[in-house]
Amino acid sequence: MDKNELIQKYFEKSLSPEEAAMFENLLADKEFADEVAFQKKIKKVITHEERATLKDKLRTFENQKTSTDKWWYAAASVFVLLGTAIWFMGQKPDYDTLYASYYETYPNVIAPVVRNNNDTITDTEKAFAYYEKQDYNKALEIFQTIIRTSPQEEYAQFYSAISYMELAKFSEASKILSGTNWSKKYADDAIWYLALLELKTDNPDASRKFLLEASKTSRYQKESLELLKKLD
Amino acid sequence: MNKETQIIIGLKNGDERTIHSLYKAYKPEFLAFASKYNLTADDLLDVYQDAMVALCENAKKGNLENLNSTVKTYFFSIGKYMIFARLKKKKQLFAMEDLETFPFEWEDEYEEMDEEIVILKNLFKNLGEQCQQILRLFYYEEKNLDEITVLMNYENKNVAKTQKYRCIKYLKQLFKDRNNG
Repeated sequence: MDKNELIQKYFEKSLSPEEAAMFENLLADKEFADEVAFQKKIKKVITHEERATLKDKLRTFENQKTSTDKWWYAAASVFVLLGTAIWFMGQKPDYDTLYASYYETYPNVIAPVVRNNNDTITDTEKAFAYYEKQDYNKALEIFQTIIRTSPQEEYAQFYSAISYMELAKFSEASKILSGTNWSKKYADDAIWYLALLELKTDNPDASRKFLLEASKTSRYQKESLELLKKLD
Repeated sequence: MNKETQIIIGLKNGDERTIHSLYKAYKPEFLAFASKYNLTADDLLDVYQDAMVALCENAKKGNLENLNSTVKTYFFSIGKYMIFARLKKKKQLFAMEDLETFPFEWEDEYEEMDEEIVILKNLFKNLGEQCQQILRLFYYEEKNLDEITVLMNYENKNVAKTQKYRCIKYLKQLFKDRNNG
């Protein structure tokens, strides 16, 4: 086994006892020891960077409410909560269950995964093949490539959003669904999925807003009305 | 998919909404629990955030996959550990007793930064996205090369291996130039 592979396995924590002994012995060799030390530094740098980024993010969660009047808000919200809790005791809808009963993976209506033998596979076909196999990570990657090369392809945006939802990456999904200027083809769907997404992430008010919109003319009118009723 | 699995997947993917909702959900109980220790309010909040970072980090490394407790229990174990570690740092506690073992990794040495590390960090940030990503997956998320091959859509494991090797070599060259120049 070459030295690089030993080092790789060391970081993967997959050295066998024999390999571990070999690794230990090799540390006497300065070049080898330096290489290990350098890679440990890389690990340290990346760890530090990632932790700092995440911690900064957490700090912004704190700053989202102003500190003045915090006490008042706290006191007021306790009363409101208490009141609401008593009022709705036993009849609060379970958002997760509602989500599960209404959410459906959007079907592939773009690229049917049947083709002639001599055809070369296009990226679109590849993406939808993964999509249908429920390999959403891979599907996403290809959708993203499609968006980069042809940003006008609306379906790639839309199916990216659905893939994100399947992967429970709700912020990403939300960004696409609410940040895209949808044509008629996807406008109804986008609103409907946004409503479900907000429900899933415990924001019933935001969800209601989208449902109200969908209940007007959308092709999800029936479901929206139903769901609105259950949320009340 | 049940709620626990959803949380674990969300954390693993670094989903901001999942993190934010847990952050809000655990905070009051954590602060109440932690208030019996002799730490300032600033310290408590800082410890809480560190514990949350550790939770996310361990989720990324796949340590939550075979959890035999809830995510919440796991989080509070981390929190407790973090409180003790903080007290120890402030020399208010000498032994880390009373801590059950649980599958949680947190190496504190990563907190210290010397000049060399600062330089290397800047060089790392200037690498191409592809290199940053592969090194991040390998060293931080502790994915093995098979997983990286899939995640980054490489042709096969050897391509991933070569790519990683090149990135390390390039970074090392930059670092050497920087130190000699």
